[in-house]
Amino acid sequence: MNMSDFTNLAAELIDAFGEPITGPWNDDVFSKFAIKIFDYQYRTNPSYAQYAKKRGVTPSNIQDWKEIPPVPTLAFKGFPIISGNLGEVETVFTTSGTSRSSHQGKHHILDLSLYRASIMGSMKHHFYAEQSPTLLALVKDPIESPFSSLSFMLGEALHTLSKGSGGFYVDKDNRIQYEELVRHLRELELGKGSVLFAGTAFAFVHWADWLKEKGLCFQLPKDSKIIETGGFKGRSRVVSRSDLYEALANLHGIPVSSIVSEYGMTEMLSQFYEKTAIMSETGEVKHLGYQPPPWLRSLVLDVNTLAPLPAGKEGVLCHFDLANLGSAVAILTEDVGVALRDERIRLVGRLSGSEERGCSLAMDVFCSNQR
Amino acid sequence: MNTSVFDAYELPDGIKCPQMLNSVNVGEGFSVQYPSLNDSDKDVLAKILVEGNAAIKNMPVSEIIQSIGKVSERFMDQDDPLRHKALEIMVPTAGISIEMAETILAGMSADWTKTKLTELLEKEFRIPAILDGFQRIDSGRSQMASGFTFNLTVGSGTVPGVGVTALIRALLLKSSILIKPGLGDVALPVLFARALKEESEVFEKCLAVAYWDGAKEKIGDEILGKAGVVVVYGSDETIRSIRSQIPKTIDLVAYGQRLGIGLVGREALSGMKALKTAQRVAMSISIFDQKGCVSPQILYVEEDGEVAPEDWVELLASAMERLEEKLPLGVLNQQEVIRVQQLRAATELQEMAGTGVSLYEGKHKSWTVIFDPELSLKWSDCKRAVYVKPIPDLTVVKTLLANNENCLQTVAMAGAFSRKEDIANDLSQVGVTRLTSFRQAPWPKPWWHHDGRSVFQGLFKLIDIEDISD
Repeated sequence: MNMSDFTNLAAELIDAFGEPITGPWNDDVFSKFAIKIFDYQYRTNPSYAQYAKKRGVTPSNIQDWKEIPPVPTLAFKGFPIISGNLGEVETVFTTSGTSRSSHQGKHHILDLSLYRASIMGSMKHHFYAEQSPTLLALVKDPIESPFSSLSFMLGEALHTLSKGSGGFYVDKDNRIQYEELVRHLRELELGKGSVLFAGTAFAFVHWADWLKEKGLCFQLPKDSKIIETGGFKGRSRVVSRSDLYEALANLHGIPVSSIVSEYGMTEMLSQFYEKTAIMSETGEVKHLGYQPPPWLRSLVLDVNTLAPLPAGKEGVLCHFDLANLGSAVAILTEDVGVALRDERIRLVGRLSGSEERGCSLAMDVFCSNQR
Repeated sequence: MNTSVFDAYELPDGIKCPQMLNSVNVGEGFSVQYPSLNDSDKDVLAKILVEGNAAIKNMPVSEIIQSIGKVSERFMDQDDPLRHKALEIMVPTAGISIEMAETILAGMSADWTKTKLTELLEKEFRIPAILDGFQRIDSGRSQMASGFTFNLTVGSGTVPGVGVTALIRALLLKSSILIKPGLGDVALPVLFARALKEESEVFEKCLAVAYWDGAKEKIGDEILGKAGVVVVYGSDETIRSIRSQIPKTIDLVAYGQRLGIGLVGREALSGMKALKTAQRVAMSISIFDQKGCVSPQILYVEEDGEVAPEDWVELLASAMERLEEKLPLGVLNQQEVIRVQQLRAATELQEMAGTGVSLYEGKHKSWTVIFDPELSLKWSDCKRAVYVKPIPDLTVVKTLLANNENCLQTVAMAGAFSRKEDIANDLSQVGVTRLTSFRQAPWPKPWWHHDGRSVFQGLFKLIDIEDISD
């Protein structure tokens, strides 16, 4: 195994992720990168090589990124999925684990700079193109939660893109720091700079409940946004997405269209973002589909046969994330979705999910017991 | 395509026919319809059940048993339309095959007969008439057992029939009951309640069954405010959610998720016995499509028998395949298919990583057997999927199961019967509350101490009259 292969390929990818995003990459560009990564992973992960070979796919016969055999998310719960050397692992991100799983999922990361580049590329495009908002994160500080990929992501954004302006408002015991957050939001209300307020869906449910109970609301500065990171089911109480968005918009003095949904998972180093629009004629709230960065693409597969389905058909989602150079580029999820135009997808249902990235199950238990 | 609809509710006379009905598709061409009860409906329903309790309180328990026994006989009668209806509805709502529905209905209704229920009360109360009034139980006191006026039960839906068992327990204690079955168990409680009301008008106002989506709709203070006890079967999330809804003054009896374990001693791995063992284990796994808390999910198989664990696993795989023909798996829903795909692909990768893991799988995703030398507790949430782990001796199981007290319950065993008590002693220390055979594992006796509780624990109060000499 040649570590310089990894280093060279990672450097190429980091450069590509740093280019301004103008839309999906040309299919040839994506395919060329994906096949190079498959070739690298085939050479450096012997069990994956056998798995791919059994499916008739090898570096010598692969033609298209869509042919790369995907690794199921469940495999991350079994043993390390590493394309490279276990000794070179820089960090490990874990899922919080749910009652459905007997083991915790682990994503071994060979090089965090790829994750950083993916985060920066996407977040710059979506949230920092014209401004440098203060970032308030309704998750634990990455120092308290070093194995949370969501905490890492928001930590990077806070320190690099928001230049340290902001903070984390969930403590090490999973308690939301309500009073401190109110104080910070009140200060920000008086200023001119915009706010980026990010957290798991369920942390927001508890936050909204608390604000209502206390009779508090805010008028955040113009262009402020909220990022909600999925996961509504299986919690102490199920709240519909539209109810949560309406409550968050009203409580923070922003339009519903300023709420963006993020879809990511511990097993992937890139994320999708979905914008919300309000139809001018009807006032109806519309979710516009999850948009990947150019280095992430998805296929919708037939649930029974795992054969690709055409746009508009519902099936299980398989993601191809070029940032996953050190693990598995193709990930078979448990999530159900539909392919839309411009590489966007509509999520229909989630079995695995971003809630595991933020440990919100633990937080939900705590908050429910407190109430 | 025509859609069949099942009304998943049976409400007492006196509550208006619900104006709003919701429905949920449970399979192709089949949907379940259920009422949308507003606060006022819930208030009226709870009041009827509380007021209607006087009639059942005055009914001798022997007559209650008689009525219940008659209905159970109808479920066992091959020619009774009630039985046909039950099977017809169980298949799509529980997602099981017709063969499985027949097996479950036969197994469950056998425990609802007059004989079995009389035996049960005799075991639990010694003098069943204690439920009818004060009885002299020993020198110094007379005693009466009185069920709560109003029992609210929330079922889980994983195993059809569990709802009826819960309903029967409440009625034997002369409690009024509202049961909200899980979607997979709507058929039997609704049909049972309808049939019971035909037996005696006493049941008209003390028995209600209504399904609703617990994730979307809370129980409501109108009902909880009048309940004396709340019984919940379900996942940790469900129990947590209901616990957060009920006032602290109300007793909660909760039966949570459990992990079934199987032990195969080397005595069961000799010659023809190894094959027989595999067949019995396969049956134990496959009943309820492995969705019961009593279903084995992990098998620990002893080494140094005539047949080695890694060879015996092949016998088990063959037995699973043969059983699939006799007792087929039901139709898997989308999420279930996705989980099987995940399990098989992830196991295949592990197999290729040289971990000693071997994957055996049935056609059409019907069953999965995974031989895994790594001994830690690992299970799958797929139907008919089992991990087989080789161990040097059954004595190591205690250590392997340690620190899981809250999820252990049934351990099924083959062979090693001479070591049964030692093993039971060991396992009792790590939270196991039932040691049984694979054959009996899916079918606990009516007197079964579910999670170590006595059958009626928490569902009634004992009232004493002490002898007064002055």
